[in-house]
Amino acid sequence: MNPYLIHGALTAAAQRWPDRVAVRAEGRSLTYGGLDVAADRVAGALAAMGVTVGDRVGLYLSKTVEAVAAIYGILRSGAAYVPLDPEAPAARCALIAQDCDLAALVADERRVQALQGVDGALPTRGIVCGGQAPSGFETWEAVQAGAQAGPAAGVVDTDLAYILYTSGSTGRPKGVTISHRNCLTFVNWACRQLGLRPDDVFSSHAPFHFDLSTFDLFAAATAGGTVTVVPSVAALFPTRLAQWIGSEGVTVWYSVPSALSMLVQYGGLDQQPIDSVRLLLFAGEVFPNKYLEELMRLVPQARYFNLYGPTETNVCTFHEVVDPPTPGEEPIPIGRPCANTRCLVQDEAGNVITTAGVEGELVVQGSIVAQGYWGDPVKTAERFTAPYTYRTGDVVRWADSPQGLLLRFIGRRDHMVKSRGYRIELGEIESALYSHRGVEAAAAVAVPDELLGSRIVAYCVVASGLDEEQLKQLCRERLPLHMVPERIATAPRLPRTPNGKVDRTVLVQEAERLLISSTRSA
Amino acid sequence: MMAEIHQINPLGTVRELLGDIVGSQVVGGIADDDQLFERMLLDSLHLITLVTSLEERFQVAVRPEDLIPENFQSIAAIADFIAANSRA
Repeated sequence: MNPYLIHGALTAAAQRWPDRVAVRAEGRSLTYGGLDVAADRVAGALAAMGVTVGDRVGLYLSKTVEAVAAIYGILRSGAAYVPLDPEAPAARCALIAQDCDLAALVADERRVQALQGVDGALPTRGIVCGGQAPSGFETWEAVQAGAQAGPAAGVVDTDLAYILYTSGSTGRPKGVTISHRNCLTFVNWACRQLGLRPDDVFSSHAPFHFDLSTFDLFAAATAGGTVTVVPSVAALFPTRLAQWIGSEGVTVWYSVPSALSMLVQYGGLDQQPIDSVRLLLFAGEVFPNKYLEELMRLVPQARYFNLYGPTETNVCTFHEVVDPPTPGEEPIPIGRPCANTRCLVQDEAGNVITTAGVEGELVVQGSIVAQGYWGDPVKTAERFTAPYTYRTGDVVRWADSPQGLLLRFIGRRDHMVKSRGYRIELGEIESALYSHRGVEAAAAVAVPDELLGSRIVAYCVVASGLDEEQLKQLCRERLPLHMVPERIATAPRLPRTPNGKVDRTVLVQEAERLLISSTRSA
Repeated sequence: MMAEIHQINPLGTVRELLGDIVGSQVVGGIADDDQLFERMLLDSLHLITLVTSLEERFQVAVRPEDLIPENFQSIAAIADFIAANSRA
């Protein structure tokens, strides 16, 4: 067992706790022993297909026990897994599949067919879950009746473990390349800092293409606990979520704050307490004090941790929230660096700021930092200014506190926004709109929203005849659901600042009015 | 006046409001009894937006205990919920 590799955690858990439940999803479960064998069979099949160290294998499945086994199987084959958003348009997943040149794919039948519809997007080899296998593919059943292969030889901790694609400002998603070492620096810190135990039950709320999922999967395996996948209906209906947390006995919850804000507002927690939870972890966006304060009152037994970090740095800082924050006051801090991580605050000239209260860009250093962007040396050099060094683009400052200096998040330097914790580059939405010849100018803006982070509105100057519905349809065919603007308004021209740039401040004010009027009188 | 029209035909208005959120073409392809969540047509933002517009348009208060799959699983279920709870 290699403790420097992610799948080493599964091997260790399977030896120590073979009969413990490793994963539960959609009413089915696998023990650590069962997961270990299933993963070895996936690794065996992939090796027989020629997949080898350094390859990429796509994962295009909903959150099933098979998907978890596939993740470990891909890692054991020596390849990196590339999770594709199972709900995103096939065209966007095809872009990703081609960008990182997938050697093979593990997918269900519907998603195999979706990729088949895009020329050259479907890898020639792979495993299909349910239904018929196209040429070059094997069925999941055949794979699980086939030979097992242990972990591939010759994999080291600086090899890629996975690539997570995030929104790209130029209209193409960009792939963050994360090695075993990057991931385990975070996971091992989390296990120790949070005191994770074999009797813990971890919720899996985030989708597998979102970096929060790596905590759920790999911290659970390292601790020997159970990871249980939030059913899609529970993710939508807060009272169902509260019931589900109780019936599953979840002890460690990790999600974006908006999921918890919804639970506070609509979950009926005063009627139905979630008293099994001992750790409430959140990341991905600012948690409004109003909802956090109420959550801490409704779930008093839990410890609360604000985790911070863009995908490029896993989680790089943390802050335990001990006292409920006061609504209306500044948001809780993002805290201090995780183990083996250095946080520098730099001014425009690159000087390091150590004085409390002075704003600068957060630069993160250490083995928690990803390797770069797949196939994009230019963008990598811009942001990863040295090995294990990443310029976040987040503006922060040090703040004095009784616990010493803590980091506080101020805002972004660019047009990246967050909605429900997802990163959205407004430029990617604008590119989708510009893909239509009839769109002469386009600007997307984000209206801040306490519950959801932000709501997206786009403004377009169009040639003729294009209406809101057609423009939205254009976006739906190219963008994941969370990036499709809520409203797209057409205008004769876009407001400009004196130096000719689109005046986003004016547009945000327009968008606020538009959103209010559309809910009042639609 | 408007309220009376909604009471006669909540289905049409529910379709219209849902269409504003996910697109009228999409809604045009959904039957009244089709399961909205099996097809992953809505995410949590859409659901909250829909609840807000239903509350405004029909003057209903959607309480936490009302926000359950039974009331929102299909266009017909939403219309039934509105018909049973609308004060307008």
